[in-house]
Amino acid sequence: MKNFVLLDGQFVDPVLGRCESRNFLFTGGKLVGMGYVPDEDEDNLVQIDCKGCIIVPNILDMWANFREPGGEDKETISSGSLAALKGGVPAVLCSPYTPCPIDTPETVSFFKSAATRDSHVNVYPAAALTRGLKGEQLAEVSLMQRAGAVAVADDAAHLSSAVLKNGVAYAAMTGQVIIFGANSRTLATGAAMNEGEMATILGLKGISASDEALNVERVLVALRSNPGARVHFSHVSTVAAVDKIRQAKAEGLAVTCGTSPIYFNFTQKEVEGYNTSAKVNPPLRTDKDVEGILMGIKDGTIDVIASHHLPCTIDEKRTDFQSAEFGVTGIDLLIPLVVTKLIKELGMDMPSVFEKLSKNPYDILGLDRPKVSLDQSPSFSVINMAKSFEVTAHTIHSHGKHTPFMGQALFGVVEHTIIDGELRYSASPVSESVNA
Amino acid sequence: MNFCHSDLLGLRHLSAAEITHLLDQAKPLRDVLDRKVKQVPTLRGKTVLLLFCEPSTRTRLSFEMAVRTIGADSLTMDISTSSASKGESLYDMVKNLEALGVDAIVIRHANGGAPHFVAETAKVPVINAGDGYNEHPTQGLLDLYTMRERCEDGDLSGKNVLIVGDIRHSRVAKSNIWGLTKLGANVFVSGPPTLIPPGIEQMGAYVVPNIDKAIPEMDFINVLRVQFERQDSIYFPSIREYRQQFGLTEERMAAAKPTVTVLHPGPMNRGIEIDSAVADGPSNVILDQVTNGIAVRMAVLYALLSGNNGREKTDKAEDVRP
Repeated sequence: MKNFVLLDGQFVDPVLGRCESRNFLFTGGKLVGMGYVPDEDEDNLVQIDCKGCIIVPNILDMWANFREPGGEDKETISSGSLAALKGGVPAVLCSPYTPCPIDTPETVSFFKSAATRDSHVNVYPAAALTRGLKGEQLAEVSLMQRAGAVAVADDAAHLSSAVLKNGVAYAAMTGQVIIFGANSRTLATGAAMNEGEMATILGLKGISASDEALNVERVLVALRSNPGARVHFSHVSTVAAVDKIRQAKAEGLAVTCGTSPIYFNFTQKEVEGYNTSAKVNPPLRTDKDVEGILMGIKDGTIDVIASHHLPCTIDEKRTDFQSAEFGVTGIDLLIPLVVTKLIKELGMDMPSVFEKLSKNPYDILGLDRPKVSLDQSPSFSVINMAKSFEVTAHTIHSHGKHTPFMGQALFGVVEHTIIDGELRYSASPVSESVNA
Repeated sequence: MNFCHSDLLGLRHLSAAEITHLLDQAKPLRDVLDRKVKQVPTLRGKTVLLLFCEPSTRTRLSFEMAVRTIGADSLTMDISTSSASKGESLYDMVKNLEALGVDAIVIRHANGGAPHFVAETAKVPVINAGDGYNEHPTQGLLDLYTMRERCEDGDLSGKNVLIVGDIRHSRVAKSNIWGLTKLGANVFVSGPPTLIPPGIEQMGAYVVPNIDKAIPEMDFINVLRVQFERQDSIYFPSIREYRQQFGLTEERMAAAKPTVTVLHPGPMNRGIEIDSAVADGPSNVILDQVTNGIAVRMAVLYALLSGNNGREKTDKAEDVRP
């Protein structure tokens, strides 16, 4: 790889909470110059013009489903990570919700070796808290951690009080964060969308919004009796859940939470016309919930914005709404959605928004965040703030093509992705600018 | 005013004028049913597929009668013996049926919204014969038709209609609410609070917790069947308690206007949601509903399949996603 320099970009520093114009010079996978100004015809150096772009360090998508092993028709580590790369996401936490759940040290090892072979970005596996994600017996969380899992995860809804309490106590021993989904189980009930007037009008069975707050509360009860544990809710969708977590934080509990762009962009109205691209779990909620999520993002109750990437096949979505699978693609669009809604539309402060996609995920997972300093190998996402694009099947690189954002114009075109100090992706070729 | 949709998926997206048009069209077709030879050649050569993905007897028979009376042919597809049990997707099933050359698809499905998906998939007109908890538009139309017969000049505006029972799981209630409110009637719903779905007021219905307070004001009472197959005992504790609270008993009906009309979509559970004395009494039009059902279904088939009314399925996107 040639040496390269990022010129005239605006560096967003979530750690120091500021933005500044900076040049970055990389040589041999290491950051060797900050503020470097090259000669116009400098040899053997790719000069990348980043005017109009922001440069965000160390983005980590803290909740994505790459569906491997077992669901390779929906997504593979290869296809999902390619979508991440092109979406400017250099690191991903993969959920254990694969058709063959990641619930043993052997499946963790499989995932790790498949990732080493196939992945285009850094991927970290989260492992199941209970065997088969069935909520009955504890999985080997410590052995899975040794095999490379960085967190344990499960659904709060299907854990009995005893399994929940013991699971939290046991996993706390390993020091890993315990990630809970607070969404309702829908398999048995046939529920398909948020309970309320839209479900009534469309004649669909509803998923109650209060379930989410109740599930959060159950986990918080378990957390209170295990002060050493750390809990993260992977995706909250209701104002009630955000309120509960806000109170718990005020109480001093070691709790964090995340959400996904669909929950601050859309309401249940999106389901109108039985739009299977709007079928997600937790379901799209109400205007009040969207407000609550945005408030949680602003006041810091919500620590993380993750893609909640859950790709489905065409066949799984090309059916009636109730029969369709839950899930939408999202990793390609994570950055554009955050840029378009939170920064462009709502004018939120860039460092505090991107903190939720970079610093916070690393801190919550307890992973070493690559430093943005000389002789280090940070990852950078170079994002064009002025350019927009239309979401089409062609702009989505995941196998899953279903998203309620289809056809929308979004800002935040990802121009370059630099992973561990190496330029891995450029939206358009950069070689012309080489003065060799 | 013509009917300008390529499918009939529900009454929600029809205008009052379109509903009235269908009901007016049903009138001469209703007269055909009183003739000696109960058939007209209007839709000769058309084949209507009855795709029943959920058990149904009376709706299916009514559609079969309607198809026959209007001169078309019907094919019935019974899902329990079909390729659905072989794992074929709904998409492929519809594409195959279309390739067979049917001219219209009538579909009954357990999932709300399934007919909408079929309508998006198929190029031929699709008629919803009941989908999950969503709508049962031809039942709604036959109820409207029957109620209009009992009104002066067929005008339902300002009339008070009470729908009693399991509103939450009732597609009949939904289609009634959409249709009646569009035609200017006041719609009240009553039933155990567990069976009143959230947000029903947004559809234009008023919730009445105590039916005895409502009955004296009502012009029509539409009694829904207690759906035993849908109850998993979390909605109300017992049949006798249901009857005591919401059953249309003879004593309860004593408070009603003498001109009140009682409807029931059938099949009835006598002694539970309705007493025999009421079901067989002078105010009932339950068997008229059955006959009228054939007529409105003929009118729907005519609107969607006749040459001059037939529409290309180009307005589809607007039709299902307004």
